[in-house]
Amino acid sequence: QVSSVEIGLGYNSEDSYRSGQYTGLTQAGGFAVGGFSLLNQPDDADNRHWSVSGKNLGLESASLGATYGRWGSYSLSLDYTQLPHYRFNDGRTPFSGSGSQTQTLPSDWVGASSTSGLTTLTSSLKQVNIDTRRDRFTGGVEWQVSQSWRLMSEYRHETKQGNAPLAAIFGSTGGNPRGSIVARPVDYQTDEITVGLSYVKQGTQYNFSYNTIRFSNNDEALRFDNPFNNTQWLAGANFQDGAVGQIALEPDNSSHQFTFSAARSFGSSSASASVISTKLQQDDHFLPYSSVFSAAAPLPRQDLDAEVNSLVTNLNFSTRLNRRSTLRLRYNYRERDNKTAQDLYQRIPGDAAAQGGLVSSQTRVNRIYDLKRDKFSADLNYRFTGKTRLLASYEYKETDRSMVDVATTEEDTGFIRLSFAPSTNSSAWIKLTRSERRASTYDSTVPFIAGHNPDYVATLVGNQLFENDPLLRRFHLTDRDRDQLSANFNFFPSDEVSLSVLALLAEDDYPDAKVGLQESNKRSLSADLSYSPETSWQASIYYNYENYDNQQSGFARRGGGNPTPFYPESVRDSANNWSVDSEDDVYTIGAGVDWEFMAGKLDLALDANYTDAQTETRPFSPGITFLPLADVTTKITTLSLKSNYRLQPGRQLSVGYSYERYKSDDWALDGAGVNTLANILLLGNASPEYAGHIFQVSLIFDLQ
Amino acid sequence: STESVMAQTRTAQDQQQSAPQAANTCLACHNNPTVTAIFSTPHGVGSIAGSASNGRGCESCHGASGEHASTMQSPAVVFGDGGGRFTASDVEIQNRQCLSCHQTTETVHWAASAHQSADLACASCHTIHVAPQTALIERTDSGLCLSCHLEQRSQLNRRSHHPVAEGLMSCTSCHNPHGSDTVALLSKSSITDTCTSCHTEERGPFLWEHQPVTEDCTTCHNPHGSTQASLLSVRQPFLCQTCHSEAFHPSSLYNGTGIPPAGAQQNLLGTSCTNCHSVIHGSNHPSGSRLTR
Repeated sequence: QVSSVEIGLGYNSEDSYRSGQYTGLTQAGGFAVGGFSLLNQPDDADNRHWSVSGKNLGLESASLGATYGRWGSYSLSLDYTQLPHYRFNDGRTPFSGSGSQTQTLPSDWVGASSTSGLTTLTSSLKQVNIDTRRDRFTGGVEWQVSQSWRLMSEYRHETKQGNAPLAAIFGSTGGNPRGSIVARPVDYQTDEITVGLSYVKQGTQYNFSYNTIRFSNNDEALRFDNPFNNTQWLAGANFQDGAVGQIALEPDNSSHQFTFSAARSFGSSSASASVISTKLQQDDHFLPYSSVFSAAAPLPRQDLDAEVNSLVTNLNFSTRLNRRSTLRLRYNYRERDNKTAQDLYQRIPGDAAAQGGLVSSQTRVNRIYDLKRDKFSADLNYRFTGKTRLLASYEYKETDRSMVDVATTEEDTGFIRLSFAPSTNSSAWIKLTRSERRASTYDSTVPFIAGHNPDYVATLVGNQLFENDPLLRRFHLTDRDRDQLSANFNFFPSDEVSLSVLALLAEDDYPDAKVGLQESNKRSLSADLSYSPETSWQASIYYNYENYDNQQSGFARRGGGNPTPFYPESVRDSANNWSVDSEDDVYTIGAGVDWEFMAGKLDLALDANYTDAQTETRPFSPGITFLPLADVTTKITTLSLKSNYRLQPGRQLSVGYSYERYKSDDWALDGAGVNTLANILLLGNASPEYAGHIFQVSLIFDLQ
Repeated sequence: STESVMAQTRTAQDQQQSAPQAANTCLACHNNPTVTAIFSTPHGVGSIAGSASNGRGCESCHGASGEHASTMQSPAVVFGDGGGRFTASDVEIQNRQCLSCHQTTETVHWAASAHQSADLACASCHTIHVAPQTALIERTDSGLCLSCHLEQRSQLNRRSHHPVAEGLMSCTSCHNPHGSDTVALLSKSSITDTCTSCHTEERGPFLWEHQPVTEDCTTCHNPHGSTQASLLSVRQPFLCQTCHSEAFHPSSLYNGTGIPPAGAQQNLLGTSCTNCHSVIHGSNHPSGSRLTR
């Protein structure tokens, strides 16, 4: 390995945010190619090593790194990396101040009750680009204090700046809001420090570390003008002209985490354990209920003073029972203890809306989500003769949650995996998994009661205690039967050729769900064929097919003054039942070739990928009028070709070409202009479509 | 032996050995770059106990191999696939050689890890006799992982993905291949901790929490890549409707009548449910109980 410097030029043919989303090459035109790697050759007498490197120096995704140290004694490292993320640049908005805390409409703006009446909209539209960039600086030090003791420390300082879409909602009555998608500011800072100490001696090790992360958001809130007014609108919504709305952006937070882990080997057994204790806090000042007028009822507190403590404990033990058998036992405990105080908050749906009464549905209580989980598992690995092995595993998991529909779930999972060699030049395994999760009583009243004023709850009876349909079963809480069958086959017909095939069938069934997710199934097949006739060249192709199928059901329900009878089940009108089958089919095929020829003077690397994804959504109802939804499709073709030619000893000419074609159809974006919706101003960005070429040529100088 | 860590301090005995004297017997036959490159790495530095230039020389890793030197029989420990000449040693024997020195924070849970139980040898991923000073891996780490994890290789090419293929992240940004107590060999203590170590703004704790967010980000997201926006596992509004069936709009059947030219439904177009419920990971606004403010 020698030091080298690379300099050159490149050209990008395409203006596209999507094609340059992670490189920053979003504009057609030239760019610089640069990189370097400088390092010393440590000698054995003084094994100090150092290196300085730079990568992607002509791009926004540039990085710099440096290391210094002495093998076996200490090391220092510094890194700086830029991570851009360009999302789209075809958005349009009437607001000024995109990407800032305050978004204002033009002075001549004419409000209306819906987007069709916004007569000055078209003349007010401005382009808005959505992108962010992270700048990450990390530093680390490791010090081998003595033969047994080792000290390490890491520091990370990261900023993320730019903007992101956010819904600026002015208020709503029922399901009829008025709002705009705007470009909110992103101006984050994260600082992380880790200090660790470890002790190792004679098969025993202890590790202790402390980690703290502090997140700061330089923007407390987003303030925005109201494009709508209350003309011809329900008086209760009160969409006042000139009123300013406000939304809270993410609060600052900080965490402190202590980790202790230990491991010991004794004879044919080993044991390890770890305890991780974390405290997460947040005490940002609350925004007022309304930015328009003083609320009749004051806030119950000025900040949340939130604190969530979590504890994770792990115990592992493995032992060789005899020459053929190994037993592993594991126990995991996880707890989330939310210490935050609960209070009554008199919700105002929009800044200009009136505040409801204390004893009403508008007064909400913050729910405290706690979790406790015990997980125990045992694995028995039995080695038959030859390469045949059987792995049998059982896992029991019990989870307790607070303020959700299910207090306790218990899950039993078992699998067997048989590994074997069908022939001397092949290997295979097959794995069968069965999992059953059972929930304690599913009670939809629990989150409703926990989230409302007890005095209000006391005035309700029967059906009024439900927020969700009582026949709904949330898929992550309810009963679930899971079956999976997977298999792998590796075939090596010669030293040059290898074939690997992986197949999976997975079915999740939710037997208790009359409303909600019914089934979630997955099928996949992957294959990889490699050919390496000699060290100077190798080629491979791969194929992957995945199918995801989710079947869910619903019951269209109206409430309020004209309620649809919905509970018990016997009163439901089956004409309001509906179902949706969402199915994803994704095909991926790729190939790669690495070729070195002309006695090593020229090497060539080719990489090509094609992905074809299609989402089909099939709605159905016996009584509700419906139309099918068009398929959502994405087709991505990428090709990359890179060649290095050794001009003379220590000098290489590098030539690269890459091509990307992206074609997509998405009914959520295509045809959805800024004012297509009656109540929401969108940014109007379309699904991406482009074909771009990137050429680059550079010289690489080896530095002896 | 499990008595030493790889990076030990210099001892008087060590200093008497100078590279590559300790390996001279082996180098009489194996003096070619594919072997001697190790002397440019920590595994070949004489001051480190257990290295090829220290104490027992090459036998530190390959075991007592006098028979190999005299009669060309197999060395005591043969790594990898044996190179076609010798039968590879049992994986457990291979790995024991590595782990005798490499007892670190990263490997503390190797003994019960998924890769260990799958009979993976250290040499399946690591190549020792190569010059790079740190990685000791022939391919970039993501390419290495994806050579076996074929599904994830495909998923990383999808419409929505983390920048792994672009080289700005790697598999080890989230996973510890040497073992972990967390599902999927995650480096952090939980899925949520893993995601929020970069997405720190989503940690809250918020006044109005979205319960699945506090428990498991993968309830809604597929971190390796998705055909839907924002790494969502299922398209909105249907994803949201698997858990929300309140009266009025959450319980409606969304279908082609809400798509132009038939119609324009605010729960389908744009960003669907998050057209309004945009602070979906949690809100700290006192009126944000519906995650709209």
